[in-house]
Amino acid sequence: MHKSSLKEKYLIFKVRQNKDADAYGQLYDYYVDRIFRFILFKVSSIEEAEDLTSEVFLKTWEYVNNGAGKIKNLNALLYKVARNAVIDHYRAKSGDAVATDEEQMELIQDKRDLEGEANAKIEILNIEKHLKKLKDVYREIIILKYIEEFSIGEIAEIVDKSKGNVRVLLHRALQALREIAGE
Amino acid sequence: MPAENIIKQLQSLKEIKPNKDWVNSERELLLSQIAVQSSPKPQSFLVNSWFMAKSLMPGGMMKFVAKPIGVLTVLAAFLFSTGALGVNASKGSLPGDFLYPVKLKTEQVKVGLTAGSEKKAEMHVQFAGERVKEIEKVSRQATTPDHKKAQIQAAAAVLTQEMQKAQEHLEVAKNDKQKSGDLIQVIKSVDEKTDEISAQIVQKQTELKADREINRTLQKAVDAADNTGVKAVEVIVDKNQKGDIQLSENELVGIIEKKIEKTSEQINQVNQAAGVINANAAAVQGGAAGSGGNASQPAGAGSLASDFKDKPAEAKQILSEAQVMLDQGDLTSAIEKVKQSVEITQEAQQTVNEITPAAAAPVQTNGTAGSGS
Repeated sequence: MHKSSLKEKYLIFKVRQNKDADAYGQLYDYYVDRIFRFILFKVSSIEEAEDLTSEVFLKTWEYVNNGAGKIKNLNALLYKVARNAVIDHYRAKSGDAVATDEEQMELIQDKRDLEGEANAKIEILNIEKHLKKLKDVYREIIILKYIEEFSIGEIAEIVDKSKGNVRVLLHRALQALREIAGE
Repeated sequence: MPAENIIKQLQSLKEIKPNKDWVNSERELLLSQIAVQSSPKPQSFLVNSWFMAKSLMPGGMMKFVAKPIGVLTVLAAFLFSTGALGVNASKGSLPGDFLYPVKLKTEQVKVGLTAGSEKKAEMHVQFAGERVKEIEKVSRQATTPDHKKAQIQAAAAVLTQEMQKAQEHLEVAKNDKQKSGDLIQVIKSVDEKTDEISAQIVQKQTELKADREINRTLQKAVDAADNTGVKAVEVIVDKNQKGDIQLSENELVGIIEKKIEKTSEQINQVNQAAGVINANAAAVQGGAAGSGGNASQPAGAGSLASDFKDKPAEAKQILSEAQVMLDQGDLTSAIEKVKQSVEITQEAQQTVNEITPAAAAPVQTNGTAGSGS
């Protein structure tokens, strides 16, 4: 299933028409890893990522069922809902004591399901640390482009910016990441 | 570093995936909540409370609330902060009610504002207790069986999640170098409360055992509660070894022995249930022999022997080893053995739960098919 394919449209139709939980379950199966991963890079713990991912799928269900307009791109919708959920989360959370970055990195790395050889794991840990040091807007663009592999147009729709703006941000983000990695 | 290397490393981050157990339990919870919202339900007075809450919201918030996104969080934060209205509006809601997600969100906000992993674990267990109350209320309501079933399953699924989160926080507390004054009290309270919750759910299972799906969901909740209790004891033992807490050896031994006793009782219950199944299977075979071999066994009863046979004995053996280690003063190994025994007992219980409804169904002989479910 990819980019508003026929199957995805059919599943969305079943969800809207019949409030079909199984159809929504199939959509969940396809998107859950990606949405979780996207949120994980934006928050400070696995638990927060899990909670917010749950919230995203529940909100999206409500939106699909109650929203008046046609769902042109469920992919983009999910990521938008995810972005907004993270923003709301930090608004509600402001002032709460948080663990240091080091402690949070340890929590995340201990508990994650990582596949691959040990060397690959070390590479993953390094690049993650570099990512965490980026500005949020740069990190988000990098994640959407190189990890989630969206096109410039799709990214523009998710982050609500023009394509030109996204290209410039991407260039700057990659530049900033190279500088951090070269430290 | 060349851009190509960085991009290659970034692409390797695609390997990051959520925990499979969480994905599965979350899916179940999500679909339960959706199923509840989809099933026909009686009109709830809480729907009117939503409109009242909306009219009382500060003007600036209305624009934000008008978006479908953010409604729940804004509403939960508002309701939580306004005290009387907030707590009362969503507090009494049950799975399927309009404000139920707000109730859950309010609880999440409370956990988020709580400092200390052990206290977060305690809160999750407390909220798991709320789920038990919801299941009780739902059971007593006059509503359609399908709706009731969906509500019970939704509450049980959330309960299981609360327990899993409590276990995660206990693990963090275990590795936390900071020493908290009331750590031992909090963790002991978690252990006691999970025992209480487990017993309440088992009681509910007995009342609702006819429905296999509900039984399955409730069993997951029982297992999650039991595992949280064992985890709490593991943390107590570990913290004591490290010197973060001070408990007498007698008290520690007493806590572990209580777990051993509880697990032993569970093994006995599983054995009893297995005894009933085997007796039914023998009666069927006896009936078949008498009627010329035309009876059919309840579906699945024959497979009990292979899936199940050695598990209770194995669990009991490991529990005995736990007792031996406890007697020798090796508390860490003792609790590890208890964990293993609990896991095997839970597997055996799951096997029994799957087979019991079929094995309990009446069977006819003389060529007519069995009516196993």
